[in-house]
Amino acid sequence: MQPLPVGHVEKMTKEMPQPTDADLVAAILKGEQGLFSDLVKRYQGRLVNYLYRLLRSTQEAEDLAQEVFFKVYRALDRYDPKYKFSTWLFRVAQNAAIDKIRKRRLLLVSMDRQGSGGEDLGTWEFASSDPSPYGDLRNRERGEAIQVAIDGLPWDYRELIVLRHFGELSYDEIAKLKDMPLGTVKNKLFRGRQMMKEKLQDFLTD
Amino acid sequence: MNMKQPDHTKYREWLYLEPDGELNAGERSSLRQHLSGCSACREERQELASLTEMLDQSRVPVRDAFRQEVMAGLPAAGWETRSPRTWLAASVVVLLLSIGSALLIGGASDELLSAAPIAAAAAVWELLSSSALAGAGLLAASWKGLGIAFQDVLGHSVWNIVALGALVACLDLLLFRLLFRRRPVEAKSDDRSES
Repeated sequence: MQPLPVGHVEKMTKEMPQPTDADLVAAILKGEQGLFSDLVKRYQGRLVNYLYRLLRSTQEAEDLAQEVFFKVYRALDRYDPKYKFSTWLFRVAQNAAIDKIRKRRLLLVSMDRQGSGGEDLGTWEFASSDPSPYGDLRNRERGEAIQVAIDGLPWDYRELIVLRHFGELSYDEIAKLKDMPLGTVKNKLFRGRQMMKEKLQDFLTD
Repeated sequence: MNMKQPDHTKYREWLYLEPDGELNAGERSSLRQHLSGCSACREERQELASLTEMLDQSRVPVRDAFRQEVMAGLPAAGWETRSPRTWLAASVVVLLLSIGSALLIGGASDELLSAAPIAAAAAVWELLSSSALAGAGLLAASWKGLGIAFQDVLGHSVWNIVALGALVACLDLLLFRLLFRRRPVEAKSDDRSES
């Protein structure tokens, strides 16, 4: 019998097999509703960050993330384990975010009609008074520069960059979520990152 | 066999795919080889690594209470009632209550004391059938339930029917008065038209 590699046993004890998302959903549907907490724990960071980058407000991102979890919980029996849970969750989140942005846009249009001036919706759309999570000035500048760079991307590039870097979805998951060929996802992410790199050039060479 | 080498543009694309684990072993090896001789690609790779790091560092933390808030606010979902565990728990509670009640009834009855197990079983059956009947009635939210209640009240004597008739007549009268009372505004306009 071949000896086990060094650290194998330690690795085995440390890395207890985690139930998959589909396993958790099946257990919840059988009556262990408390396990939904595990799904929330798995995805809360990714979901809040994804929504934060689209909405530019931590408060709104958290509120909407809560709504997304509620929607998913209500419709859990309609989840098809053939697909990834993450793809389904982020599709719900994406639709919720788009609805929210549309409502903002309508509000701004009505404000504009009331005579508040002819501001460009593209820049107004994501205007926020939310404080940056960065403490010192340099970091605050970097945080703001990242947001400006993201907001400056065309919508489909922006969405993909945010899904990849903040939603932490794989290329394959993004392709399924967006109903796009994998090659298109790769290409758009490549171009999106290049644009980001150009916009943040001053910070990258430090 | 001599494989065609990718051009510089392709390598640049691969630079972006490599950190995401989207290259196979052959592509990774080919890229490493290219990097050893291309300073522009090395520089671009460094910038890309800085960009990724910068984006990673810009993540916002989620409040500790967020998860508890989500769990506390979970809505009632339709599938919960179809969950076997929900039915099992409810069935066990009903069964235990029925058995407890049956034992109390059976134990309290002197006549049935000698035949307590039979009495208990009969009582359990009666309770379960009554519960099922009541449950079905509620589920249908039906007039039938109301009908049964009325039949129960009215079926005992003629005086009950008379009392109910009087009550309904009084309610009708009250309703009639409320509907057709004169409103002050109408009265004023009537006065004006008369003058």
